[in-house]
Amino acid sequence: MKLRNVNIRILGTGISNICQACVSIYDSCGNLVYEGLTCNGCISIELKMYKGYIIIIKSYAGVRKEIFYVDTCTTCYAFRAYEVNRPEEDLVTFLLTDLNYENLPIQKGEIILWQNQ
Amino acid sequence: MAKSVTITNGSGTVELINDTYAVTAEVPGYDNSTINPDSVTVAEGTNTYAFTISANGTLTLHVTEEGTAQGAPIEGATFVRTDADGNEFGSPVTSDDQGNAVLANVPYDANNAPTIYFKQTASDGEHEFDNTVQNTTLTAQTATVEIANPEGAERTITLTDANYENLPINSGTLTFTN
Repeated sequence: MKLRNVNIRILGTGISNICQACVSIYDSCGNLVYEGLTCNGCISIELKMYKGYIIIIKSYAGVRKEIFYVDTCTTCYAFRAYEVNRPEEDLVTFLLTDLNYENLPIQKGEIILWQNQ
Repeated sequence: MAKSVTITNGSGTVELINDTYAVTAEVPGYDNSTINPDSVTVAEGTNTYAFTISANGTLTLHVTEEGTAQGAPIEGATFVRTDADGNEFGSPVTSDDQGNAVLANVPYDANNAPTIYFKQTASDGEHEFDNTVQNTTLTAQTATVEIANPEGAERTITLTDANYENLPINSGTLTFTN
């Protein structure tokens, strides 16, 4: 099977947008094919072409797992070290009472909230 | 995307991000189109939002001495809607000369109607009444419940001379006012 030299770059949130990380790469059978620290956020490695791999990135931002495929076109694969921020959810209380009997609580039911897409 | 909030005894909680939501309701016995407001903006710093909903059933409380449809009607008996614990809600209603007191805008449903609680707070001054919390459910939009207010029990009143023990007073009138 033909090998291809690929560069893997780990992206951070700093000014230089690189992130030092410990990188582990597994093939599709779960075999560890590489493990090491990045240099300036990057590693360079030979991998088999037309194969899928799992990369696990451990950094200050936590642990992330991604999947990538080695093809003939791509020489540099970039992965974020951090989760994209999701809006925080707060615990919200809804009160439901009878319009015609002030403050009389509704015994049971559902309120459905439809978010604008 | 939709999120459902289960309401139990007037309240429910859910995790939400700040945004504007359209609101619909599924409340057995009530007119879901009357949910108010029908949209809500969940904003930073505010975590409680209040809604109301309306029903359009009618419960008639028919008050007679015997508690039957053909019984002697009682005018002036008052009732109020309550919760299961007897806490009062809304304005009291009073029976008319036909003995009918009407609780309007109450929930009804053929299969899953919520329980309606109420209690009698007064009769006409000449009849007894049960002041405990009563309950019923409406499976149709209108319903009548028969309420008995029997005549007061016969009592024996004695009047004797305070200074001559057990000496009965020959004649006179005692007036009892409630």
